Amino acid sequence: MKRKIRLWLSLFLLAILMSGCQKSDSKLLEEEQKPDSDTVNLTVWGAEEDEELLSQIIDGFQSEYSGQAEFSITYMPQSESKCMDALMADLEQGADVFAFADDQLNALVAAGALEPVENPESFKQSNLPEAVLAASVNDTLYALPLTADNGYFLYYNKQYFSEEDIASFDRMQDIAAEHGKKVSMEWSSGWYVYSLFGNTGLTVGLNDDGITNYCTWNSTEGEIKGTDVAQAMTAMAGHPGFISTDDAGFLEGVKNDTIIAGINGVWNAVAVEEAWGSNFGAVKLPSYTCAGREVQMASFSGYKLIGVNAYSKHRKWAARLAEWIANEKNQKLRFQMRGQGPSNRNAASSEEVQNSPAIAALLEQAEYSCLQRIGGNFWEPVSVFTANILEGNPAGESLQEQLDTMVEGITAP
Amino acid sequence: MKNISLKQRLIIPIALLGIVAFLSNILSVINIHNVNANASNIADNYMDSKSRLAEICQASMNIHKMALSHIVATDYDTMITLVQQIKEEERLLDDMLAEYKKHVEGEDKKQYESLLANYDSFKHALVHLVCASAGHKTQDAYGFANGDVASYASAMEADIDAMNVSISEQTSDARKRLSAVYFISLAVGVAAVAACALLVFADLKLITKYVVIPVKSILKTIQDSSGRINHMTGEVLEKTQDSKGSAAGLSALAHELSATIQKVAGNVAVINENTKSVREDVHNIAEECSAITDYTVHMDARADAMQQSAQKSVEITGAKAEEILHSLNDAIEKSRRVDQIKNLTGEILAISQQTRLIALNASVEAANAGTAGKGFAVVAREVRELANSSRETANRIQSINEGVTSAVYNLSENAQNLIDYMSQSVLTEFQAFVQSGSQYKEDAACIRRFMDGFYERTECLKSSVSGIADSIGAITKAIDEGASGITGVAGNTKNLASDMEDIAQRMGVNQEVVEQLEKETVVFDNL
Repeated sequence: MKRKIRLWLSLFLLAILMSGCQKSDSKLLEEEQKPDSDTVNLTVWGAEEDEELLSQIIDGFQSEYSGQAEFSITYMPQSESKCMDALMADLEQGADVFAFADDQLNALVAAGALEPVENPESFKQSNLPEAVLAASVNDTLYALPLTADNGYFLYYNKQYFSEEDIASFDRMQDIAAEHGKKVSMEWSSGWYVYSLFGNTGLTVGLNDDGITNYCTWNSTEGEIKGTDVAQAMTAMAGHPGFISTDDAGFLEGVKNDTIIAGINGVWNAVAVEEAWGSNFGAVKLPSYTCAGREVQMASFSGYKLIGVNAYSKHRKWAARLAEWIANEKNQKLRFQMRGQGPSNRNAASSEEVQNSPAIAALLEQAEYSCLQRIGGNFWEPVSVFTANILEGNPAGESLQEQLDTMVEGITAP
Repeated sequence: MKNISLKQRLIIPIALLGIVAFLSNILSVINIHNVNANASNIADNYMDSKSRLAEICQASMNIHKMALSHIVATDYDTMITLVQQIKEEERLLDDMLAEYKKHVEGEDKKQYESLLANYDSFKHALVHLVCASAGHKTQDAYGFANGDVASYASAMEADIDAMNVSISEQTSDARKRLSAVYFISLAVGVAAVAACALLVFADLKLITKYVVIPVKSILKTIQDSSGRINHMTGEVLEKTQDSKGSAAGLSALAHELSATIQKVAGNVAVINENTKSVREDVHNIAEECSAITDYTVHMDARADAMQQSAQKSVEITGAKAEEILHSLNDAIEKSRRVDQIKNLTGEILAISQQTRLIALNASVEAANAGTAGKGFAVVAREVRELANSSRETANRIQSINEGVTSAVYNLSENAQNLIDYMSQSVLTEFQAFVQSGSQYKEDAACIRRFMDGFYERTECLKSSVSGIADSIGAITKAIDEGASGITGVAGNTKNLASDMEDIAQRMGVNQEVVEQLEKETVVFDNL
């Protein structure tokens, strides 16, 4: 009798336990499938040129997750290079998902704008190792790699230049001048100006603190001195075949045929190819004359990343959207629409990408490029210096003094 | 009162006392509960509230300090660590504030809402501060630190101070309530004690009258009975002790006898073992003798075969030697015909000499004949040359024949030597071998005769030793049975002694029980 009672009691308890499990399981299932009752409002910041691409990607995301939530996703144009400044101005009101250049990663993490990415292993495996490194701080992944092409090279119109001509910037300027055209380069950004100093033995970089810079661009010693580069820049600025202009100016010049060659990045590859058609050419940077010798132009390289605002009100959905934007399919779409090089291994190894002239030029230039790791104090002093050179040094200040001032600003604590 | 039984007389006063004690305890529990509720309210709510407020205040100060550290940090690693710590501390503070909500009552709710609002603004200001700091806008960061962050931190502090004051007031009220509950509890307790004292006094009177006196009477009877049992137990114990001594002596004797027999049995067993060993040895010797005898039979056969083989060899060799001797003598005799060659060549020489002389004469005659004899002179010369040639050839045959003759004589001599050797040495050796074979056969036969005799004696010895071993085995078995019987006697005697001991112990226990009973009843002597 006792045994029977025990048996029934055990069965009863087991039934209670199992019914408890069943209940909690079904609860979880319900929670998982239950759509978010509130509308998910998300703001995405991306480059102005990416508007069409991002619109397509966002539409794809909404249809993928339709039924799970009511979405209201807004795209807003925001320069990737200035993303950090815009975000820092009001982080809590900033975009939920934003694209930015990898040199801003440290500051964004230090500001608490980015939190470590959840399940980082899958992203580490699906992206190129250098891109993962660029998206990590102290081995922790804080953003998702978006492109692996954030560098620059030479676009040229084959109608005007032969294979031999494009090896020398001086020669290209002369040819442009002969045709009443221009060769462009953006000097208002230290990013491009680095190309003139990079291979001269003069150095610039980030100190161990990750904030301040070291710089020897004003050096008076060595085979090439700071003033040698400054003089070459002065000669370049005064050449009738040269023009310093930004992205928009370059594209406009290409389209109206005033610019027949220029130093720019892959993000404009599609637009330039459209303008020049079969005359479209892309190649590594040329050399220029400095201190009586030919110096190969260097370049900064970098990666574009996609981040999720740590203060987003819908962080879970923002993270899914970021993952969607950076996935293999959309990186392929990005390449097709914008010519940008993918960081995703599979997308990058596709035949289509491998055959792109712009990507090939970038790979050719890779030998003379270094990962952009530079403190925030670099940009402003360089812009001031180049502006003065472009204006023809109206104050008559010596080049050495100008270089000293620039270096003082770059290395300021 | 006279109709009430003893059981009822005992139960009623105790039940009354119990009811009063039960009621008194219930009142005590209620009072303690009240005191505990008030004390818990002070400890759990007010003191805990104060403690939590202090933690909240400390956490907000920590966040404030870390934000300031972020501004002065000189590298990104430190900034990243600080911003993570700030966020972690904020999460903790969020939890603390949410947890604190249960302590908030009445007018404190307003203050609590104010604290939450100020904390929210404080966090927003911190975000601005940290962004400016990370973006190296140090001046802006300091501006936020000295502006919004500082003012909201102060506001939070003020809110916390106000809540602290409120809690202190509430604590004071609670303490007053606790004192009131204490005094009420004290009064109830004193009343309960008085009631209990009254009932105890009544109980004492009743128990003395209806319980103590009757029990004393019963006790006296029990004590007398136990005295008698004690005396009787002593006597039984004494007798048992005597029997126990005798049984122990008997048991010891049986043990000694058993030990001696077992020792004898042990020794006999050793002899038995040794005899078995001897029997096995004799058996082995007999087997070995048998093997040697078999071997001598084989030896005899082999010697016989060897002698016959040698005899046969002598006969064959003799016959063969005789045959060879005969053939050789015949061959030598025939070889002597070579000597006739010398005689024949001598005759040839003589013929050639005569021919030569004839030729000479013929040449002389030819010379005399003149021209007619010229041709004959040529023939005479040719005949002479032929005679010379025959002589030379005969001389050469004689010379060769001398060598052949010498070789034939030499061969004849050596053949004779070989025949002599065969007849003298080889045949002699074979005959000696035949003699050795005969001797070997005789020796083998002699050894076999000796071994047959030895084997017969060994079989006799084996039979004798087996008889001895069987007898010793029978003795061992008899001794073992005797030892087992004696051990059984010793065991029974020991059991007897053990039983006596058990009886003695039980008597001792009986005595102890009686003593215990007497002791127990002594307690009631004071009734």
